[in-house]
This record gives sequence, structure tokens and C-alpha cells, in this order.
Amino acid sequence: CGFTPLYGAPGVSSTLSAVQVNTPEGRVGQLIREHLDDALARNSEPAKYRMDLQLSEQRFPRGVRVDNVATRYEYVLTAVYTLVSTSTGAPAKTGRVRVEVTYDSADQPYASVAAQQDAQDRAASEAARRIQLELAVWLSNPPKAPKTKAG
Amino acid sequence: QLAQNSDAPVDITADELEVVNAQCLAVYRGGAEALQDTVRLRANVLKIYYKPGSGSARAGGGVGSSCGNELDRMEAQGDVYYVTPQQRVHGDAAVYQAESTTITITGDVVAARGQDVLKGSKLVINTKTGDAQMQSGAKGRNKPGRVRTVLYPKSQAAAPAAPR
Amino acid sequence: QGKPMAQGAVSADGLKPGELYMEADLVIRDDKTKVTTAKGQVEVRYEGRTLRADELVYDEARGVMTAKGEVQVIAADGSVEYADQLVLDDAMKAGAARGFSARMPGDIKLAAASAIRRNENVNELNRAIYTPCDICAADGTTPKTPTWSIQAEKVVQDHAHQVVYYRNAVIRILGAPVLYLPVFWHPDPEAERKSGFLPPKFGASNRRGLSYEQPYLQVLSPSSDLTLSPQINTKVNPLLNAHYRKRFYSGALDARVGYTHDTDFDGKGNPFGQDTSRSYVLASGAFAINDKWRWGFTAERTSDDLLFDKYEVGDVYAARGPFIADDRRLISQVYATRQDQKSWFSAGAFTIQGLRPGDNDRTFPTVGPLIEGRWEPGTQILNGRLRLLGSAVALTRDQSTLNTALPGIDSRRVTGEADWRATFTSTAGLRISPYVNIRADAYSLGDLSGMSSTSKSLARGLAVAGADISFPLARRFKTSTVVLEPVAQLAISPKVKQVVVGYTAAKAPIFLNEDSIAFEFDETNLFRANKFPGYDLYEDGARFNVAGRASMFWDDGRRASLLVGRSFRDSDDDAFTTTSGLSRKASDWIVAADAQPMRGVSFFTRARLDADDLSIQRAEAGANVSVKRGSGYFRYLRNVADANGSKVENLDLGGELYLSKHWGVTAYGNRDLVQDAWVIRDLGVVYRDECTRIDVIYRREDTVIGRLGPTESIAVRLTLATLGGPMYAN
Repeated sequence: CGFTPLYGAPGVSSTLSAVQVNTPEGRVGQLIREHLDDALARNSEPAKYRMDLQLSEQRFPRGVRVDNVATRYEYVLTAVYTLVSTSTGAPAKTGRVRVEVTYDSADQPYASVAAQQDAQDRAASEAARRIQLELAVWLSNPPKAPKTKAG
Repeated sequence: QLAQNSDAPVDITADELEVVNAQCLAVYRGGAEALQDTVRLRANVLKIYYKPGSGSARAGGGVGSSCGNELDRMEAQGDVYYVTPQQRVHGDAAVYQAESTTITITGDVVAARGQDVLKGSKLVINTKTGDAQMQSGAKGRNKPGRVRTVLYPKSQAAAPAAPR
Repeated sequence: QGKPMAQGAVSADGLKPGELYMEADLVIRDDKTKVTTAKGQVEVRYEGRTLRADELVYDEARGVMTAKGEVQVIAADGSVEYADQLVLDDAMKAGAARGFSARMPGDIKLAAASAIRRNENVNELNRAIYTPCDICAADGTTPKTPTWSIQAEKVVQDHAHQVVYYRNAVIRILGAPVLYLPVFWHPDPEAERKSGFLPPKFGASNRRGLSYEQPYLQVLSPSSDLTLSPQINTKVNPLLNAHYRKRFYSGALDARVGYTHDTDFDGKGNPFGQDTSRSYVLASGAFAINDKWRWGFTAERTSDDLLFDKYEVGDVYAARGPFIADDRRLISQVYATRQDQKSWFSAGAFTIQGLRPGDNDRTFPTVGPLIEGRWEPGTQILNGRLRLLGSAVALTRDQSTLNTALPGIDSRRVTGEADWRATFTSTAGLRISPYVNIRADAYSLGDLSGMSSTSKSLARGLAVAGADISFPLARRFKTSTVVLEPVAQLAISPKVKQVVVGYTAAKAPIFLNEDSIAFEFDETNLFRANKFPGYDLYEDGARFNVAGRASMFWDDGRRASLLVGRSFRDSDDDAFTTTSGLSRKASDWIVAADAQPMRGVSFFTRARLDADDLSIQRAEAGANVSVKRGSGYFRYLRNVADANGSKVENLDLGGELYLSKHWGVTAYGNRDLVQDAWVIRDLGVVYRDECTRIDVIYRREDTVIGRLGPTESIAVRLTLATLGGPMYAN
């Protein structure tokens, strides 16, 4: 019924493995670089593309009680990625991914710091998965029209 | 009389003098200069008009008896300088009316007083009172030929400024 | 006020300082009286200022210039002053004007019947009006009353102290007199970063009576400044706030302190308690040692829990360092981090001061040292990648959370972990990614209460091995691509020795759980080998996580995706709570979807449905809309049992909609569906134009869990352009 394996298309999997991700600053930068290396299945081949990421983290209080104390927190990670071809240096694709992850606010402070750090890890892994899928789709049907459609 | 004290003798020198009795006119040509006390009027050509009749000839070239020795007016043409102890004025032409004791200098007039410089197209000075009025041919801002001056208020007001 | 010319510097028009250039149709000079009169479109340029008038009389002896008719003085910075008649000193600095008006940078208009310029820094205006609003209608000719203006008998603009002050001022809104003030002042809008007054904050409450806070900024050096901001109150002693900021070559320091000496006071303002010093400190510093190493600290402490609320100190709870405390909690921390392309190291320690009514700081642990290390060798190992992780934490508590008599559990943990993963993709498009993770923990616990001895130490080895399998299928449509993705994960772990710290009455073991309290099973940890967020609990046994995911990518950037998944295990795992949805062999269902159907609109939702009857255990939905005319969001949460085990269901929504260019409506509501009552409802009307923003916000707080009765308040927030911060009144 018209569905073909995404990684079966020529060059998709090998090109994904040739994307070198530059680690953005901060803990969530390191985490998203680790998750992207796993999602893209980065190997030791020379890099065909280099990916630069701009990350922005935000934390919103939700379910605010009358005494202005939030019962839940929403951690939003926004990643804007730019894929640059290492041979020509020209930007090949840009995209923006926004991930919301929520967690209850724990009464014990160490538990809430652990929950924050876990939220960073979960959001980074979800963002990496979405970026990888967007790139795979982009690689699986090279644009016929001359103007490459920025994601 | 050019200077403010009008009774000083007027001494006029030039390279060449021509007298036209019919018009009671004396024409001095070539670096003509009229000097009265400390005031000097210099030009290429200096025309001195005397009032007709009344009075004997006096020094200054002895004009014919039918002309009096009272000055009617003086006309100066070409590279005219009117110099007084306070200021130096330069223009293309000048006319001195004895009756109204005013001298009018015209044509690209530049008047310098100490550091202050005044430029315009027509300068009228009352030699008795020292009042001067610079007019410009053109009207309206930034038009060429307007009256322009550069003053140095700080140096003038060396005296303590008026109490504010 | 023109800028003084540097000595000898020639201004743009070629004039040397001290030289006055005058141009006119006619210049008359009277020697005796030393008066020069210029007539006919007179233009004077002197020390960077230009003066234009129909006529100008310059009396050199008295050093006074008088300009008449359509007088304009254009200063070097472009501000223009108009007058019918203007008398200036010969330096064109001090002077008096009749029918004076000025247009200053920032589009500020100032007009007065007469004006006196005392010297270069002080302008005095009589019967003046000050407004930054438009005074002409759009066509530029017909006059329009300014939205607001300040009229006063006398206005003094003092550039030296950067302040504009008024005597007998009337503030008019749309022409109608709204407020009469004998004396009133605000910062000089033309001031750059120079020491001077900042906009004051007014307030009125039955606690502190009338309150006035006047900040003064003192610039110490190009890289540091100090803002002293005393808050003077009629019913209580003043609170002195100081805010010091210093930027170094390699970082920045920001410290706020406050001090007062007074008794405590309750909601009505009646004093109680001793008369003692009360203070707060909110400081943070972050520095870069070199391109890899960073260090920093935050110091947040207050002497009274409710000090910030009683003195309405603003911007208290903010993320000042990597570790962030929850609402109404202060965190003091010190940290150092090292990062490069393939490694991360962070070491830190923090303590918490709780300001919530029920908080007991002695039950909050001092966390430190808290160490995390992540390192990857550059090369591939067994053609997969290897990652070495290290972590350690020590928690020391003064008091147990359960029984105040007992000292709280102290725990120290060190962990080492090795994580290997490889990925193989067959030409047919099947992706298999085997992984192995081995981990070793060492615990040392103290002050235990539920065990035979109060201290315990144990070490345990943990491991998990398995593989992730996915086989995405894609189909191209005209303008979009759909991807169907079956995903599965196999994970096998030997039996885990959980850390037992006590037994329930029914002899069931109580496990140590410091870092995995806030745990929810959802689509973001469905495919994590060990689903717990922390280290204390570990998922063991054999489990098989499986899901189907459909994603749709439009070429123009729109996105949508849906996931349905579940987790199966070979045996029940008592590490999971019964309400977590994972304690039984077949877990609850996980459903998650998100979509950006059009530009500026995005939805997300996730739910956990009961394994047997598909009833909603936890559901969450959210939407964000931001379009030209306004923006809004809503969040819905329903949870059968949250981290503290209680049923929660609430609705959060808010938004701002502009009906016309000037008028808009803002709203915020938080409804507790369990209590079936609105917790907070705000409704606001906003008027904004080029020089004003007026927010009228009606807030209603309802009866929730034993509060007295609903309280209502109306807050008016008036922000006048160039007058600095908003003025509050409620």
C-alpha cells in the first residue's frame, strides 16, 4: 500500500551516521548531543554534515495553588538545528523542535532537583528522536523542486 | 570729514589729478588716498565733488573760483578701503555724503573689527556716530550674498558678565 | 543642553569653540551702545547649537542676546526648543524664553508660558505641560489632546541629577485632571547610564500603610554599579535594599541585600514579636576559569519566611544557578563544571531554605557533594559506542520527615556505570540497536529508624542488556510524508537488591527513595531501560516495551504524531508503586500525541489508560496559540494519584486578545475540578497606545481547602512612557 522502509531508501542511514553534532553548552547540551549520536547511529566515518544547535530551556509552573505554589512543572526544551555540509560549508537544512515534558513538584528538594535533571534527559532524548526522524524523512525524499524547503 | 571730529584737515594724495571745473569735480587716480586725522579712505579712483560757489579756493588743489571749497560728496571706485582705528572695511565702491556724514560701501563688502568679521553686499556707516548698517542683496536663509559675520563673544565680554 | 565642545575640536560646521557665526538679511551695528541687530531669517551657530529667529539683538556689553519671532534652538543631540521670544547669554546657554516649547529625544514634548535656563544643567519652566504622547492627530495638523500629560506651575529639568521635578502638578488623562500632587518628580528621560534616580514604586496596604521606594543608581565604574533603594513605609520602619552588580573579565556578580530593624507584623499591620534586625540576601556569581571550566555560586537567605511578601520585594524566585528550587524556596549552592565535546563533569552542593508555611528546614537535607561525570572515548569499541558515567551524592538531614524526634536519614551513594550501544541497519530498513549497561552502587546510610541498627552500608551490582528494534515505513504524499514506526525494546536484568530502609506494618520492605519520588510512566520513559528518574530504585526482571508511532511531516513545516504503547514484564516488580501503572506484568496503556496543525498553534496530549478497563489513570492536554491579534494557552491535568497519592484534576488557561489597535482583554483562570471551584480568576482590560499602557485586572480567589471566603481585588497598573516602571495601586 505504498509504504516503503524509511531506512531502506538509498543513503538515508549512511548519511545520518555521517552527521557530526557539535555539543552545545550546558548539561542539556551534552545530553542532547549524546542522544543525537545514538539516534543518528553516529559511527567513525568522516563527517558529511555538521549540526549546530541553539537550545533554550524554560520552566513553567502549572496548577498554581492560591498560595502561589505550583503543584506541577512543565519543562520546555526548544532546539533549533542547522545542518551544514562539511564539503561546501553551505547550510543544507534547518529546523526547530519544541518538546514539553511535565513532572510533579516533589516536596523534598533533592527529589525535585533530581526530577528537573531527569526532565532535561527525557526532553533531550525526545528532541533528538524528532530531529533524527525529520532528517531521515528529508533524506528519504530529496526535494525535486530546486528550492530546498527549510523544515 | 571722514573722522568723527570733522574739523581736522583732509589730506588727499594720488598719482594723478584731473580737475573738471564745470562739475566742481576733482578726480584723483592711481592709489588715491584721503586722510583725515586717523581715518583713511583709499581707492583706485577718488572723485571729490565740491558744492558750487560761496567761498575761496582752499588747499587740496585749488579748484576754480566758481566752486566753493565745501565738500558735497566723495566717490571711490575700485579696491576701496575705509580704515578707522576700530575697523577696516573693504569693498568695490564707496560714496561719502557730506550732508548726512554717511559713507556707503557696496559690492562684496568685508568689515573687520578686531577678530569679528562682517560680510555683506552694502554697508552704510554714519561717520559721526559710528553706527553701521550692513544690508544684503539676497533675502532668505542660505542665499549667497546674505550678510554673514563671525563674532567672538567670549573675548568681547572680557568684563565680568552682567550679573544673572 | 548641548554637549560642551572638546577644546579645540572643530564642530561639524567648521566653527572653532568661541566662534559665533551669524547670518541674516540685514545687520545693524551701533558702536556707541555696542549693540548688533540682525534682521531677516537670522541663523546663528555657536558651540554646536543653532538658533534661528526673525530678529536677533546682541548686546555685547551686557553679553545678552535677545531673539524674537519663531525662535528655534536646535541642540547638538537634535532636541529642539521653540519660543516666541528668547533671551540668552552670549554663550547661548543660560537664558529666559516666553511661549517656550521643546521636542526632546524619545518624542517628549515640553511647553511652558515662560522658561529660564539657569545654566547648562537646569531648565526652569513656568506654567508648563509635559507629555510624550502625540499632540497632533494622524493628519499632523489638527491638534489632539494627549492621552496623558502632566501640567504644573513650575517644572525644573535638572540634567546634573537626572531628574525632572514639578511643583503643584496635575496629571491629566485624556484631558481630565486625575491627580493633583504638590510635589512630584521622575527620572530625566534623556539620561544615559549615569548615576541618578530611577522610577519610584508606590504602594499602599493595610500591612505597611503607604509605602514609597525610591531607587538611586550610583555608577561606580564602567563595569559595576550600586542601586540603593530605601522603602519608606508609614506604619513600619523603612527597609533599605541595595543591589550591587559587577562584571569581571571572566564572569559577573549580582548581589541584592535588604535590611530593616523592626518588630514582625501580621496581615493587618499590628506588630508582634521582638524588635530585631531582619534581612535578606539574594546573590549569585558565575565565572569562567577557562574555555572548559566554569564555577559559580548562589546565596539566597532570609531571616523571616514571609519577609519578601510583607515588604513586597520583587523578583525573588529566579533560576540563579544550575540547581533550581521549587516555588517559595531559596537555594544556596556552589558548583563547578567542566565540559568539552565528549565529556561533562559537574560537582556542586546546595542547601534549601523553605518559605512555605509548613516547611521545616531541618527535614531538608544538605545536599553535597553532588557529582556527575560523563565521558566517551573518541574511538568505537566493538563497533559500538561506550560511555562511562559516574555519580555520587551525600544527603545529611537534621530531622526525620516522619518523626520529628528522630534525626533524618543520612545517605551517601557512589555509582559507576558503563553503557555500550551499537546500531545495525539492514538494507531492508530494519534497525537493531543492542546495548549493555552495567552499574555498581555503594551506599552508606546513617540515622535509620526502621531497621535493627541505625547505620547500614551495602554495595550492589546492576546490569541490563537488550536491544532496541524499529522498522519505520514511509509513504510520500503530494505535500507531506507519513511514517509508520513499529518500535520495540527488549531489556533483561538480573534480580536487583533494592536498598531497604525499613518495613511497613505488613512487613513489606520500604525502599530508600530520595531521587525517584516524582516518577510518572509516560511516552518519554517507555523506552528507557531503567525507567526510574534517579539511582535509588532500579527496574529489574525481563521486560518488553512495545509501541506503534505514526508521524506526519508536511513540507511547509507542519507536524503531527501519535504513539500507542505498553510494557510487558515477566514478573511483578514491587519497586513500582501500585498506582504507577507498571507494577503488574502487563502495564497500563500509554497514548501520546502532539501536533502543529498551523503556524502559531500547537497541541500536545498524553494519557495512561488502565490495563484492564482503559479508564484514564492520568491524562494531560495542552495547547498554545499565538497569532497576530493575541496569544493564549490552556493546560488540563487529571491524575488518579499524584506523587503524594492524592487525586488531582485542574484546568489552567490564560490569554491576551487585542480587539482593536488600542484595546485588549487579558484573562487567566485556574479551576480545581476536584473541588469544582475556580481557584484564581483574573480578568483584565488593557488600553495601550504610543505612550501609555493601562491594565485593569480584576482578580477573584475562591474558597479552596478552608480559606476564609472568596477575596476579590482590582489592581490598576498604569505604565506611562518615559516615567519608567509601572505604578501599582490596588
